[in-house]
Order: sequence, then C-alpha cells, then structure tokens
Amino acid sequence: METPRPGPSELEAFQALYERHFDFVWRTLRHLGVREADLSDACQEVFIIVHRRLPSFEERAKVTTWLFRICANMARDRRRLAHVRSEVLGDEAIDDAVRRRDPTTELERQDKLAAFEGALKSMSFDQRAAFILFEIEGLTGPEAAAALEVPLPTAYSRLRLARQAFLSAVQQARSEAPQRKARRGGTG
Amino acid sequence: MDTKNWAKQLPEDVRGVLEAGIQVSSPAGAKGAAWSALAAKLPVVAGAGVAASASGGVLALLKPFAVGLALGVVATTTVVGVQSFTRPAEPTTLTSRPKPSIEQPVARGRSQQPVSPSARTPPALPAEAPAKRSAAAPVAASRASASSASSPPTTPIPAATTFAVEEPPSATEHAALIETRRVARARSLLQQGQANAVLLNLAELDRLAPHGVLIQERETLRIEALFALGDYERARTEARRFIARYPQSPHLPAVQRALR
Repeated sequence: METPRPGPSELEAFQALYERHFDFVWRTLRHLGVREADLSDACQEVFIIVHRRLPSFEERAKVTTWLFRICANMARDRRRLAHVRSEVLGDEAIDDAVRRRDPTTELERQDKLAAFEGALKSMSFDQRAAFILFEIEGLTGPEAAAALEVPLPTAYSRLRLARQAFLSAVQQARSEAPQRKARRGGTG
Repeated sequence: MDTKNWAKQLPEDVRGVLEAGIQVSSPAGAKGAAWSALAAKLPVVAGAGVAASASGGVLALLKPFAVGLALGVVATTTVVGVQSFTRPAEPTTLTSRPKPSIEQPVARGRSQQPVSPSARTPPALPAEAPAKRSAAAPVAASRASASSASSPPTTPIPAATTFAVEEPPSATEHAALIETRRVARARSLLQQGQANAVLLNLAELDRLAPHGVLIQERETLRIEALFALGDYERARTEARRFIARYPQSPHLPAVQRALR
C-alpha cells in the first residue's frame, strides 16, 4: 500500500494539474449548467477535492476522466440545490465585443453560442455529459464510458440521443434566427 | 457508432454552433483569481503561492513536469497578488500522443497531448492535457492561435438577447458600456457576498478597459472585496495606495474602512 506523499512533489503535481486542467474544469462546469457567477467557486471546490484525492489518484486512469466525474458530481449537486444556470449574463458578450471591435462578427458568434447553450439545455443531464465528453472534449468511447461510469453501449446511446437533441435544437434556432435579426434591425 | 466523423459531416453553420461551444474557455484572470482564493483555503497551496512568486512563478515549479508546456505570463495585477500566474498556450506547443484506437477522434484537433514526463513525473501527475477538440482542423488551428499567450482567450458568450441593440455601438461606447455594467455587476456580486466573483470581474475589466472612467469605483470595490474575503493585508495595501492616489475621492469613507 503506497503511502500518500505529502510535500513538494504532491504540491507540484497539484499545481501542474491546475495549470493544465483549469480550463477543462471551467468549461466542463459551465457546459454542465453551473451559473457563470458560480463558476469560480465551483472550480475552487473541484480543485479542493482534487487536492484531497490526489494521493489516491490511480496513475492508469485518465486525469480528464477523473476530473470530469468530480465536475459532474459538483454540477449535479448544484442542480439539486436549484443553482441551475437559468439565466444568461451579458457581461462576457459585451467584453468579447469590445475585444474584437467587430460587433457584427460578435453578434454572429453570440448567436452561435446561444444556440449551442440552448441545445445543451434541451438535453438531459446524462445526455449533456455524454455530448460534452464526446463532442467537446473528444474523448474516445471507452474513456467517455469510464467518465460516465456506464457501460459503453449506454454511453453511445446517450451520445446518439444527445446528438439528435443538438441537431434538433440548432435547427430550430436557425429557423428563428431571421426573426431575431429582424428584431435587431441588423443586416443580412 | 461513428464517433469520429459526425461533427465533420454537419452542415457548416451547425458545425459553427458546435465550435462556439468548443471554444469556450475561462476568461483571463479566472485562473489566477481562483488560485488566489484556493490559497486562502488550502494552506499548503498558499505556501506554494508565495514560494512560486519568489522563484519566478508557477512556471518554476512546473519545469520538471510540464514538458512542452509553454506558459505565457498574464498580468493579474492586484487581484492575484501573492503570485504571478501563468497560462499555458496549450495546443500549439503540445506534442501528439499517438493512440491507435478506432474511437479516437484524430481529426478533431484533439491530438495535442503533452509528452508524458516519464521518470520525474510524480505519481499523481496528469498524463494528458485537456486539449479541446475541434470540429474541423482549420478551426482547431484558429483556436490554437487564439490560445496563445499573446491573444485574448475565448470568453463564454451567453444568449443574443442580452446584446440586442438597434445599432452596433462604437468601440468607445462599448468600452463605456462594459465598464458601467461590470462595475454595477461587481457591486451587485459584492452585496451577494460573492467577493471572489467581484475580483474576477474586476480583473477582466482591468484587462479590457485599463483606463476606464470608473477607476476609483473599481479600486474601491476591489478593496472591499479583498476585505470581505478576509485578505486584510492586501486590502490595506490597496487602500493606502488608493488614498495616496486619490486623496479627494468621494470613495474615501469606504476605502478607509479597510484600514480600521
């Protein structure tokens, strides 16, 4: 039985993991429905758990798989507490618009992300998790199944349903896009 | 089940929607602010933060492990404080890890994996980076570019309704709008007790509008947030700096609370 190794090496491992995977954790929590205002806190909570469990992390496991499970549990708990992301916040949209200095492009991007998030919302939590792992993070079937803690056929089944939901929701958003543009008074 | 080609077979506009989701990443300053907050909760991390600052940042500690990991320094100014933090330019500098699997979405820009640091890797060190996949190679390339340290990160963009304006405002108007909204939002977050989120918002605002018209208000909010987090030392340092810089500020009463 290997004794957890406190001290510099463990700390360095934690820091390395934080550096490499912070964006992954942030993105995963966001896509799993954690509210923008809660993301920072949720990320911290995830990494506190990571820090606590790091000594028992099995080297053969894929770290993103392990992290995803922690994120999914965190997101699920927050949903249970009714912290589901139910609103959209405008700050980042405006930030990015400023950064890009191209409002037209930004509006298009914004529409796409709105459609993306709308599509995620049309999925069940399990489907959403499968979709994120396969289509956003690019995990393989066995990796995604491991992260979801379900048999491979189940993972594929969820992915199939998630894709259908995604396509359906995006197509609906596309059909509504001209009306939005008209309301906005935009061009094209 | 075809897990490799589904995204590639999507119509271009649908793929664009998927790409918008793929390209979501944490806003600049988020990583540093979260690390700073973590340091307050994990004593061992706090110690590392100080040590890292003294020895050139997290990069110095990562050297033995993060092979191929290029780190760009991102200014976090007063928000991070205890240490500078670095941001990896992930996809462009990471090398491929061949993985012969029919399930591996090779063409999705997810082949960027860091070289496993072999012998010096501590037991718990991650063996791969969470490089986001991309629905199409050209987009992956553009994302790699967007992830470089010199480029702004892709920021999550919420729904269009929040930005439904009649006419696109000018860049200056955008800047004023964003500052006003950010400051109002930071104030609201502070009232809700979300001091960490306040610091995050202000850090992002510092980057976007370093010379805004609400600087004093921003600094005041930062001091109040630090104070609310219990980071009294930094709150006082910032407060003294503020008073020296703006001796006639109408925000002085709020700032002086941090000095009591």
